[in-house]
Amino acid sequence: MSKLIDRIIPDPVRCITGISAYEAEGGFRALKKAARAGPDFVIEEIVRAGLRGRGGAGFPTGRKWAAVAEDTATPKYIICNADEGEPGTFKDRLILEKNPFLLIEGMALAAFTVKAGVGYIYLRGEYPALFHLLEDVIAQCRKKGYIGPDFMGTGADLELYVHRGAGAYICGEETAMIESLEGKRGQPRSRPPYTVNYGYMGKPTLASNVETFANVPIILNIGAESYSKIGSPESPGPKLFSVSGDVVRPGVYELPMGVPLSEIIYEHCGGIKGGRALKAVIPGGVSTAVLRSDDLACRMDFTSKCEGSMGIIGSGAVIVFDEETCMVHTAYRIAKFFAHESCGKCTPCREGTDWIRAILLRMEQGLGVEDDIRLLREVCGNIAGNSFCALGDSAAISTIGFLDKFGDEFEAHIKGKTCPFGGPV
Amino acid sequence: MNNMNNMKNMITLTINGKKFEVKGPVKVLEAALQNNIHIPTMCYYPKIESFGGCRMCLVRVEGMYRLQASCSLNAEDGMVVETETPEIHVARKAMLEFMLINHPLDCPTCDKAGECDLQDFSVLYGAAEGRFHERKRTEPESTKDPLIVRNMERCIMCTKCTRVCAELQGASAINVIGRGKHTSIEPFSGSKFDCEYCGACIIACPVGSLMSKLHRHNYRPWDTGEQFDSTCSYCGVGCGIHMQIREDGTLQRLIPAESEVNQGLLCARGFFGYEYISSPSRLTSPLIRKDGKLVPVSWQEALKYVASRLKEIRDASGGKSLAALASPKCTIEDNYLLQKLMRAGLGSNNIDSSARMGLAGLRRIVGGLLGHARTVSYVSEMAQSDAVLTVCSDPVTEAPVLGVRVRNAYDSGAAVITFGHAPGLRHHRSVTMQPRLKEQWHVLGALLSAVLEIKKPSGSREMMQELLGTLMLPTPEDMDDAMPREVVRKVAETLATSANVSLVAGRELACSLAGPWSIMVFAALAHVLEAKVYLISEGPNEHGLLDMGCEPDMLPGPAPMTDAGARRMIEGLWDARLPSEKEKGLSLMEIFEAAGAGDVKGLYVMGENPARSLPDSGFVTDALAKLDLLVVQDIFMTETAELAHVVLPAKTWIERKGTYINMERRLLGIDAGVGAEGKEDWSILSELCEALGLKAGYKRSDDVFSEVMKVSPYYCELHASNIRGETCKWPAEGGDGHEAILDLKALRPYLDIPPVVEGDGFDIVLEKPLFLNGTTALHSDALLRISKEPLARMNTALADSYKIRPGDTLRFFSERGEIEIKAHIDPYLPDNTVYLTDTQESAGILKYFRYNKMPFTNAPCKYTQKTGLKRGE
Amino acid sequence: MLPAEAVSQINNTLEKYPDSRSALLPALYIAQRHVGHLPLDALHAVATLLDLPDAHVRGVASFHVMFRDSPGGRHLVQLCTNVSCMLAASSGLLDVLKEHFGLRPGATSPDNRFTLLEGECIGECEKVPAMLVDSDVHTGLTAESIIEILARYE
Ligand SMILES: Cc1cc2nc3c(=O)[nH]c(=O)nc-3n(C[C@H](O)[C@H](O)[C@H](O)COP(=O)(O)O)c2cc1C
Ligand code: SF4
Ligand code: FES
Repeated sequence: MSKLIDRIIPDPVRCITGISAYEAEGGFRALKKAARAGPDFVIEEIVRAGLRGRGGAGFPTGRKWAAVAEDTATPKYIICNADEGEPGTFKDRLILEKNPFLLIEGMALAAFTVKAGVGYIYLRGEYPALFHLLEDVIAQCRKKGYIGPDFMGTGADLELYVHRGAGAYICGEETAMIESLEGKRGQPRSRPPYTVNYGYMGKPTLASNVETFANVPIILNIGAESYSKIGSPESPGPKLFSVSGDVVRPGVYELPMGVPLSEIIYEHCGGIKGGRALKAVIPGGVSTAVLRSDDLACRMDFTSKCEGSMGIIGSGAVIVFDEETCMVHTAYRIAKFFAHESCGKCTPCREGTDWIRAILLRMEQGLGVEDDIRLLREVCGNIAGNSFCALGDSAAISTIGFLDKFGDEFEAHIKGKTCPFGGPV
Repeated sequence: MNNMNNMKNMITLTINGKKFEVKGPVKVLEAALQNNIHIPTMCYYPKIESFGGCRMCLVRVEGMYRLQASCSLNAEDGMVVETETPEIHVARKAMLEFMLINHPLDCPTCDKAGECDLQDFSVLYGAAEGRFHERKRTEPESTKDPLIVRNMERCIMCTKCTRVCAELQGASAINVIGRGKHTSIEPFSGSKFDCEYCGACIIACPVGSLMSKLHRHNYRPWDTGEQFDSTCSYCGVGCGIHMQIREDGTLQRLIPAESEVNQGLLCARGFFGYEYISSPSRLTSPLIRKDGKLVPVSWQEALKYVASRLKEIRDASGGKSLAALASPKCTIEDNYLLQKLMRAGLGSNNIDSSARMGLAGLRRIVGGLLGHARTVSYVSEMAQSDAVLTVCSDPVTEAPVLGVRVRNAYDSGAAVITFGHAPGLRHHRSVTMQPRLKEQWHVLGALLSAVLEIKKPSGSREMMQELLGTLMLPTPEDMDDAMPREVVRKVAETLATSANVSLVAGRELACSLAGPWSIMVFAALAHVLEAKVYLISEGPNEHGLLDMGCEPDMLPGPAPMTDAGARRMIEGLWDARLPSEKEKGLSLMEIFEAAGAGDVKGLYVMGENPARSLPDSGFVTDALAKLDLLVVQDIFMTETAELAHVVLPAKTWIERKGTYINMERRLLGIDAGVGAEGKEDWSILSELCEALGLKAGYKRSDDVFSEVMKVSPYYCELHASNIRGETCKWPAEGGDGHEAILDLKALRPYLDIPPVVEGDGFDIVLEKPLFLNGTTALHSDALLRISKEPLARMNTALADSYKIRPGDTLRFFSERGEIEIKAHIDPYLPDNTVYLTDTQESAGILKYFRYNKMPFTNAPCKYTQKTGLKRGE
Repeated sequence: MLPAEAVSQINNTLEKYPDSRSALLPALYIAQRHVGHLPLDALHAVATLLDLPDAHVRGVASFHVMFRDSPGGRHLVQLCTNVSCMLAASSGLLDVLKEHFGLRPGATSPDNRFTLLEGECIGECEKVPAMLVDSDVHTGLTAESIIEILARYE
């Protein structure tokens, strides 16, 4: 009856952290349905719903589940990627704070469907309070038999544990996360073999983002048919957008996929703070290329791309900059982030991200020279496409984006030998 | 990955426009390499997992949207690959630029220059133009380690060093520290390596970041003169080494060879321990004791004197009053001639060696029971085992490269069971069984019972069937107090259900106080489990000297002393008489007992140092002092040589030619790389043989070997090409030999379960030292620098009961004496046991033990009647 | 050596994982909580407990921002300066911390109360600027509130 369970974040104010509240709102209905209808049904529903991973890459979730389900090796594992490290992103945190049982239900569905007996929630180290909250939520679920041995009489078992990361962005990358969970340095692995066949401890592993797991109960509750009608045809379903920066009402917004960027900023977030003009938007976390105010018509889903950028939705972290922001400084701050977070495994990212950072710092300080823009483009070009994982690429994409869209500001810094915005904000 | 794919695993791919067929699964880089297409790499290293970090090996694959790292990309059927296009050159040059921006331009003072991959690739792809305006990373070179110089400014983070350390050596002693740009390669301490010093990281480093101090600033790769392959002489593994010689004939550098035995691996002894050859304390001139002092004399005088004194003693007191110690450090040729001198020249069967403490008895019983061919197992194949049981042996220190292979097996999923103390396998074992010393062999017997409950022996070896019918065994229940029966049964199940089981044992089994029974239990385990058997020989040529009859009751061949046919053949060939077969020769410890009693008057010691290395060494030293004639042929003034009447300087393994037989029973050549003073052992012996009226006249060691080929059934079918160059495995490829004849009757007295030797207080276990494993090692400055001070390790409970704190000086005493050693507390050690670490015999620890001779094998088994411990002052 | 309580806590985490290696991050957290930071002997103790090589443990610890190899202050302050917080002028707060507490990024205050890290995003981007003090999140900081908040940490 209740509408609450049809939304990922049913109530922006309330936190559903007691299991009876969740049950009262219709929680675990999806799990009960799945237990009756069987694993094949769950996979079919997800495929029909067209759910795509919310971790950033948009991989079709149904295919992932099916691949793990089909692998005959045992034991199997499920891992929830709650490392949420992309700057500007805080939507997974909101799910965990406000509606954590939805995630557990999603993971129980996964365990039942792919026949995994153990699951981990890889929680970013910077969310210490959530660690205890999740342990409590898991204990409540286990006590009620929603997880644990032979949960809900399904014959499936699930033990769930929370594993705390310790401050490393790269550990959000799926294979690095698994290395880290195995007690190693969090550096990405070569693929193939793929995680679905060779993941944690070399066993078939289903790794998905928090929001992805949270979507599954909703699909089963409202049915694949209705679900697929939300959002755009290639990227159906609801999506959480984390909006921050110079908007009137920053926060997390649950909107249909494909919503135009301008609608998010002007309708939902109330436009730009202090009545100032909008200068730039980073649409999907700092790994995506920056957009100018004239790009705002683009739709936020996995298929739309803006000129010159790979994809725009990323982790759905919209960061908005007003007219007073220095783009060179912003580019520098992002470059500094990537240089700090480069794991060091591959040459171009280890050396290149820090080189980018150093050149941008020089420019911001008014010490840039004529040739620096060309050099910067070449360094980025030498990283992009050659790094081991997407982190290096992202650093290059970000910088190139700023150069493409705000080249004039860079030139002004070099010519004026100072920052026209008066140095760091 | 699955079997289906393996069935049709031929892959056709196109590389640079040409079609190739390769066997999969294989990486694109390797597929190219197999067809002589070289793709530049920095982080690729054969034999370990691909890493894909350096990005030098980028190639273009049709249909893939970005350049691919060929080292980590699986070759697939129909793939079309380009390895050298302008686009790829640009990318590679860019990667080099990234590596160089933080790399110092110190090539002129870098020892790696000339064989540096970074330098070579920069030449190949064109150096970058230097557009990095920022400050380079700086980090001072670390010379805090005694042997390894670490220069992190030069490091390009290929991580080959850490990966070979973890994946090949299994030591994981160094790791990447930090993240991103702020990474460096460091040992745990950040300064000293405190590692196993295998040298693998130095070999792997493509730039000048990790270098050996031994060649620091005195070696340029392009100065190399001749190069030689030879065999390391530190233990029974027999690793291949490669020597680079300077134009002036001195040794420039020694690196591991890609031999079948070690495949590029070495241990610290092999990698760093060789520089004793140029130690200033090498003997250079023959010495004769005159007026109580050893004084230099000419070779002629020395040999004449030795020959005449030997003759005098023989003529006065008979051959029985003379004895000799053969040496596992010396070659087949040397030992053959020593034995010939003793038997035919002096009429004595009193010849034995340190192999008595291990391999002699093991090989006779285990090989005799199972068939000698069954004891031939290849070191490299250890890595393919599904289950490994080490029996009171730590292969990592006793036969290091074998130990590494056990670790490799573990890493590939094998169950590794360490029975007894094996600290080297600490991170590579599935189960540890560590019963108290007094009961350990009985627990092994119980393990055999448990295996027999699950697995019935197959195979038709009658001797084994008879043995299994008569050998008495305790059940797991009987031994419950010593080791829970569940553990025993679980291990038994693992072993009995694994396809490819390997068993390892060494001197501890040979010297077991439980007597031959324990060796029979081991052999029976091997039989029932159809296991590969690894008998560790601690010397490089123990099998060789045993084959040469350097045992009191054996003839060269080997053949039993009583073998009439062999005697006739040898006497004919030598044109001399052998001592009567009734003349029972003395074994190792009996020689010293007889010397102490005055029955042995003259002793010829070749390349051995009994005054240091035998148990109850105080007693041994006293016995040596009583001799009328002690001749020592060695390379250093050892404790034994100090007591000698004549000292003859010999050459080391690196200064001469000859042959060894390693623990795999593989024939290995050693080769003369550098020159030295002194004479080769065989040539000294050859002259003495002639002086004693034997036909000798050997010009080269090969001449001696030709005679060996005539005498020995093991060697008779060899061709010259087998001896050196290609390695020859023997008798794996041949028959079982005469010595296979083992009379089970002789073992009958030992079939009963031996009584438990009750002792009170705690047990003392000597850990074998990895670095200082013998007298030669003690002359290696490098090994001395890395060896740690000896420690007495114990757990907290034991320490508490004696009120010991870490670092306290402890005095252990027995009826034989006392030693002082520092305490170290490790809460994770088993109860009631003290482990003495790095107990180079120099710590004097062997003085403190008495010995029993094991029945049947005569191996000396260390024991003390009472052990105690006091806190020092 | 680690206190017995830390050892038993570490042993308790082992049951969560199929092998002891995987328990490394939790074990390091526990060790750091008891010791304050992770000196070599704490790393060695963790390594021994989990049956891991010492250098491996140090390699992993040094990979992560949350593990400290030197003592530092009693409280770890991580002030986010990443983009969203940057827009809310979090760098100005750095000056406040310098003036008021003598705190500089990467260093420890003279009274040994705080160690400051110029942090990356802590996922509080809607209530900027934000910081973590030990495990507590503080958001919507101003020059006044940051002083007041830190005053509560002794
Ligand atoms: C550098 C990097 C960081 C990433 N960080 C995260 C993260 O914090 N959270 C996340 O869910 N996915 C992250 N990802 C994506 C994951 O690798 C992976 O695609 C995702 O967890 C898959 O889940 P999904 O199928 O539910 O999207 C990251 C990827 C990269 C390359
Ligand atoms: S791009 Fe390379 S260095 Fe950067 S995070 Fe990925 S693997 Fe590590
Ligand atoms: S050799 Fe392939 S990436 Fe280094």
